[in-house]
Amino acid sequence: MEIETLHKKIGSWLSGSGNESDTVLSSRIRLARNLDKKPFCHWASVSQREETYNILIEALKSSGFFSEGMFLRVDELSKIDRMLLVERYLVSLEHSQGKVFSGLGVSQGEIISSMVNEEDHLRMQVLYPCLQLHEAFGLSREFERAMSKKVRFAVNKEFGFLTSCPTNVGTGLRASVMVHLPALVIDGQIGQILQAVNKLGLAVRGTFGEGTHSIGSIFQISNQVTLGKSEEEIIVDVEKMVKEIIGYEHKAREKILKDRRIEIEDKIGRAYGVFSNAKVISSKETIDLLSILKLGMDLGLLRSKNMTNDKINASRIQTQPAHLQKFAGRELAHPERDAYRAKILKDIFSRKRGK
Amino acid sequence: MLCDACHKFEATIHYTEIVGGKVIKLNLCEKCFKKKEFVNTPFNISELLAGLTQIGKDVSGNAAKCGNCGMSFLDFKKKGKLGCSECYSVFRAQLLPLLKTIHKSSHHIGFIDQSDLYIGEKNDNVRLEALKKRLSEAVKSEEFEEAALIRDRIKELKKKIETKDGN
Ligand SMILES: [Zn+2]
Ligand SMILES: [Zn+2]
Repeated sequence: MEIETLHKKIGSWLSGSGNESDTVLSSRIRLARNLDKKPFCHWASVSQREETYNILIEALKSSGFFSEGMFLRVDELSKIDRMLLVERYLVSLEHSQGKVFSGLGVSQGEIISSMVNEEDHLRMQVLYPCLQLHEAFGLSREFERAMSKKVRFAVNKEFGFLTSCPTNVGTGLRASVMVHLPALVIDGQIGQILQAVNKLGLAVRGTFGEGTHSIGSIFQISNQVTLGKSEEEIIVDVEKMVKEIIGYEHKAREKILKDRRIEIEDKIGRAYGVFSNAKVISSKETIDLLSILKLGMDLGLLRSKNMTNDKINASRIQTQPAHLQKFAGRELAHPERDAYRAKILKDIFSRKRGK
Repeated sequence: MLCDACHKFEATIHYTEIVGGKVIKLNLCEKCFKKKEFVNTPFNISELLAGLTQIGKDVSGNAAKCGNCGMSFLDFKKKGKLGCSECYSVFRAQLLPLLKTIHKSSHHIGFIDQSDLYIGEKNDNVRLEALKKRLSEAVKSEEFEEAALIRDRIKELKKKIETKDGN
């Protein structure tokens, strides 16, 4: 596994097959851990950052979870490579800034990854397709136990795992689920639903375009509280909320199919037409149209049987700026990018099933 | 529309986040969206601390320092982040009300792999004795989940010692 060829495939967690694949894109578990008594990253000197970097990369390498994976010094990568990692959800924007001794370990298939010297010394991440929070947590526990045999994590009985920021202390666990809610957006109910989510101490994030229309109708639901609840409770709370929301989404889909079928079919047909014929296409338009296409596929309204979740996911990830530039093998200016994006989309769409 | 954060560039990203009962709507330029700090930390720790404790006015409180990493309470208030794991003991009194505000709790109830506490000890026989002591403590205080974890670790360690002796 190496960064030079990373862009050619998408992570196996984007396969799109699993529970609730019509509404849930992926499940993520993140555990924040720090080394006992070593200064936290923002408070550490360069030589102290180097020390934690060496200790943790060594431990990750011998943990047994990264065979055939790769290890990177993020601060030594080009700007495009660093953005590529962000587009693939392997590093945070903060980590992509490339402070000295910023490390990353990625497992084959990108299911497991770990940032070293981000906000905490170690951020362990497990990504699974669709709704599989329990499975992802199970793997993260195994990974964590392997790591805790190698290094001494900062932990105390009263506060649990100690983190740089008190908002993560305790379990250090962030469980998040990415959901696709196009019918709730079309129907205009999304605002109310999202308002209700915070009552359980959960957070919703989404990127919105003009007005109330979100880009791609994709939202991330995650826990906010990490202390005073067990890992199991945190995961069950998030999962329960996700299931409730996708219940509403399913009802909204039935409703729009009944009341606005022609309008929906028209949107889907047009989206397909744009992808087949466009010569220039922006990132925002791509993401919006992919959302419509996925809805069409999940409602059984798409005539082409050649469409799959993994193709839609690939189209979303591989048409982002750093990916495009890796495919092109050079820097692309803005107008050029939109033309290149249209070309890549056509390539992805013409791929055979299962490729 | 200009960016809410820098008021300089055109806002192209309209970000909405619902955290802790508050809806945050932001119109941002691409640059500021990428910085996103305010988005990742819904709580402003410095503000919370100023509101929660009277220690802000107490000079001696501000000067209290962590012996391990050198962070003072004033540093913590400014940064909103602690300096090292020891800071949690040093600033415990100030942290308690802060944690209650953020998490509605100030006590961990999730996993702690107690046997991790002995990972620093290189000698397997010494570790084994320490783990055994831990185990009886855990059983006495009826912490059965912990006890089970420690028992597993003891088994692993015994096996390791046996195979080593066998060679
Ligand atoms: Zn700005
Ligand atoms: Zn400290």
